[in-house]
Amino acid sequence: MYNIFAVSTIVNWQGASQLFYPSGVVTLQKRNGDSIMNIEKQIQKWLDAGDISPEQAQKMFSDVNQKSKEERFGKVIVAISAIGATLLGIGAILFVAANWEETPALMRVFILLGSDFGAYYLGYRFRYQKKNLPKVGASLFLLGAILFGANVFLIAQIYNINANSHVLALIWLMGILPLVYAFRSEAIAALASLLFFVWTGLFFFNDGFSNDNTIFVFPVFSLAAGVLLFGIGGMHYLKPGLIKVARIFRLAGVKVAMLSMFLLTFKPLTGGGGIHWFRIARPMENIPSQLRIGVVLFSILAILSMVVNLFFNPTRSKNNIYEHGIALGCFSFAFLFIFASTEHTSNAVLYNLLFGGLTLFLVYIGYQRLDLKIVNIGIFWLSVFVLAKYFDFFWGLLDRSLFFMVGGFILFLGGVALERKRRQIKEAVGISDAT
Amino acid sequence: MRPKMNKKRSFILIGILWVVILGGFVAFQEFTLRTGNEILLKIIPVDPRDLFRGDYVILSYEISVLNTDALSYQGSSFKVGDNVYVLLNVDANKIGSLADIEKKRPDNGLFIKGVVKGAETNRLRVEYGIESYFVSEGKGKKTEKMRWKIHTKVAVDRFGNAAIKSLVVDEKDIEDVIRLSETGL
Repeated sequence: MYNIFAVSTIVNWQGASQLFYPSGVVTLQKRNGDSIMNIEKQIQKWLDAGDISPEQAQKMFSDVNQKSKEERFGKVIVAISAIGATLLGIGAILFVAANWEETPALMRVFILLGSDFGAYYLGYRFRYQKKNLPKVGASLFLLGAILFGANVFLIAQIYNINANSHVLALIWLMGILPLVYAFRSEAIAALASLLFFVWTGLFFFNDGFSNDNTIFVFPVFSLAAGVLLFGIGGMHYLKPGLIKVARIFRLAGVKVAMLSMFLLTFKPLTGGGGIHWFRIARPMENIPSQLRIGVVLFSILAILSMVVNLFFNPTRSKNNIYEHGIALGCFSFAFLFIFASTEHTSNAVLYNLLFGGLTLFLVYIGYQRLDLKIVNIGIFWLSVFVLAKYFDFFWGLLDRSLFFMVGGFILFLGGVALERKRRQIKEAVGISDAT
Repeated sequence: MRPKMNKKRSFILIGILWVVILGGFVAFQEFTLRTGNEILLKIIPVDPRDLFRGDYVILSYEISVLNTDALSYQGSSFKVGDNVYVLLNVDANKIGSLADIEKKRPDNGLFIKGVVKGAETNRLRVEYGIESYFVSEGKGKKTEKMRWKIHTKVAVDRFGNAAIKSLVVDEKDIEDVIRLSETGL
């Protein structure tokens, strides 16, 4: 006989996994960040406390291992299918690029359109109608999304539309976004995130970029885009079925935002660089109106999304407040750069302090959320930041050989320390990531 | 039953959306090509290679850089990103050349809409959306070699939107000229 346990504290609407046993039901409600290792530790605790018998514990360990194997196998299927779909999609794009003179344009359109809708239909059939190959079906949806983009570029090629038009990337993005929401596709969410930044990049460099002065606005523009996607991702937590999509958007937003903030730590971009051929002061004066509108619009939307997340996210956790409060703070500070930029070095110093703090905050929040991916992002940027500043400060100060020896030694020690810390966090978190 | 119906409905709606997007894209271009006035523009091409778009030539026109000294507006009255409407004179050979520029869409006359990419006191650099032309793979360099003889056959609709119909050399399509030169004829 054993007692029925119900482990509570649901976070982020995780479903229950039930293990049925002859004498009753043990319900383990999977908490945010629980992994196979933690579940096994929990079973061992029950066994040690005498709450379950050795036979029951053995059965539970066996079931957990079986489930783990199934999950791993499932991931392999997803990976293989996704790689297959991506390779097919790349092949289709290169087919467009080949520009076959033997094949009439209309024929090429039919081939690609047919493949696109064919992949889309098969994806639906396998995943929702027959339900016999759901993971393959999901990969076929991804293939359909990639082929849709190939169709857009093929049509642009046929009509000789300008090669790097940001409108093409936007059309592709608009076409595949409904797939993310209709079929909860994580792979397509990742593709959509990528396309979002491709679109913003093309918009800036093709339509907004005018001269050497405005290039320095790019990090702020991309920061606005990163924060906006992070905020949009957070808003997806309001709907339980979109949790995984939320995570993908948020991670993509964090990565781009960190890259943008890193760029802003360099003096030539934030002022006081002492490099006379950069004219840095008052870049807003020379920014084209379209770009200015784009920056302001992105900024307003980013701020709105932060506010929605702060006040409407159901978890109401401190982590949520910290994340969105800090995102709002960083973004506001960077935005000030546009309107109040100077050539003083204080800007650069502040950005460096801010960025250093951000990397440590990411490691902290990843630990709090039991999310190894966020911890890895924080550690990665901390390492890059330390390396960059080491070069910045010591390149001119030390003899070259000493510079490299000291730098190498510091990096070696840093690597050892970070690896130890990362292992500690990994053990505390478990193997799998949180959602 | 309801979730399956939702998925089916979503599947159908997304399919329709794709048809609308791609169809609309094609229709927009076809409108300009079929209803626009056909003119020839003198070009100066430069050839890059874009792996994802096949071989294409970058086309620069006589009207891509405008000297605004004798025009209604000076270059300094425009900013990057502004629309500019370039009024054209068309000669007996259908070759278009600069007549004047306007900030707003003119009510009459033949004009082509462009976007200012660079503005100086008395100069404007303008793009019209017809700066790329896709050739068959490997033909870019050959096309570029004939640059001094090439004109672009362009359709310009009543809104000023332009679309390339073909490149021509001595009134012959460029692809035919290249093919003939390869066969030694």
